[in-house]
Amino acid sequence: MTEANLMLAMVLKADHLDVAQLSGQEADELLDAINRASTEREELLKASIDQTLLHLPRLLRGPARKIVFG
Amino acid sequence: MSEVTDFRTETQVKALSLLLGVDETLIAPLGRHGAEFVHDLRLAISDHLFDEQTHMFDRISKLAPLAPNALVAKIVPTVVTPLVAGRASGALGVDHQGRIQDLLGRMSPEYMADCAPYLDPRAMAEIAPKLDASQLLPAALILLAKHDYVTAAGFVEFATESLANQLVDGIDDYRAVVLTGALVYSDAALELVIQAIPDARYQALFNEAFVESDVAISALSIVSRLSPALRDHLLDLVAAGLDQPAIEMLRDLSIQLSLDTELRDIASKLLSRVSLTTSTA
Repeated sequence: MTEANLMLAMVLKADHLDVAQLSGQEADELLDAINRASTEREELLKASIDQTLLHLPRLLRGPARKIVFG
Repeated sequence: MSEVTDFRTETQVKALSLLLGVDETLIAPLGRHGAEFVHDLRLAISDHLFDEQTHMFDRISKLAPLAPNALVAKIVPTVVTPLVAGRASGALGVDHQGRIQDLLGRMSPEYMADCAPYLDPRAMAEIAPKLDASQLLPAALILLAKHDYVTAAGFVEFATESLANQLVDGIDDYRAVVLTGALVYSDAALELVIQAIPDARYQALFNEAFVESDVAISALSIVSRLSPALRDHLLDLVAAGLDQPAIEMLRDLSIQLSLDTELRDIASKLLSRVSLTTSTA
C-alpha cells in the first residue's frame, strides 16, 4: 500500500473497506476530493448557521454562535 | 484504467460524485472496483464528512429540550436554512427519537423535501422506519417532482414493508418509481418495493418505462436484481400487456451492445415471453 492508501484508510476508519485495492493515484485523488468536500461543507454550514443566527435578536447572536461553534 | 462496466456500479459512481461535488467523469475509473466497493466507499466518506461536524450538532442537540415542538415547527422553517436543518436533524432525530414523529408531522412537506438531501444516511436508517406514509408521502412526491431520485432512494433503503406499501399506493409517477428503484442499493429493499406494486399496475409501469431508453435501462436493471420467483412473475405479467412502442424499445435494447449482458438478457427474456403470449393468443 502506498502512503496515500494508508492515509485514506486512517481517514475513513472503515475496517470493512479494502482501500488496498485502490491505486496510489486513486487514493491520493480521493483524499484531495474528500478534503475539498469537507472544507466546502464546513464553509457552507457555517454560512448557513450565520444566516440562521441573523434572525435572532442582536444580543443573543454572540452567545448562540458560541454555543454552536464552541 | 477501465471504464464503468455495469449499470449498478454506474449509479453508485454517480451518487459518490454528488457526495464529493466532483464531475462524474473524474471518478468514473473507480467503477472498475465494482458496485459494492464504490457503495461502501461512499458510505465511509459520508460517515467521515458527517462525523467531522458532530461536535457542532451535538451542541445544537443539547439545546433541543429547551424548545417545545410547536415552537420549533413554527420558527425553524422560517429562520433555519434546509442545509442546517437537514444536517442537524440527524443528531436531533437520533438523540430525541420520541419527538421526531410529532415534529415532522408539524413541518410542511416542502420544507421536509428541501431538508432531505442534507440528512446523514445513518439518521435516515433511524428515522425512516419510525415514520408513516402520511408524514413522508407528501414530501416524497415533492422530491420525485424535483427529480431528486438519489435522496428518494436513500429513504427507500430503510423503508419497512408497511411504509413501502403505503408509498407505492400514493405514487402514480411510474417513471419516478423506476428511476428511484434503480438507485436503491439494497436488493432486499428493492424487492420490498417492487413486491408492494399491485399486479394490475406492472403493465402500465413498464409501458411507461419503455418509452425513454434511460428509464427502460433502469427498469431492466431493477428486474435483473429481483429474486427469480418475483422476476418470473413480473416478466409473465408484463409480457402479456406490453404495447407496440414498448416492444420496439425492448427490441432495440436487446441488441444494444453497449448495454450490460445481464440487462440484454432480461430484455431478450421479456421479448421471448411477448412472442409466446402473442402466438398463444
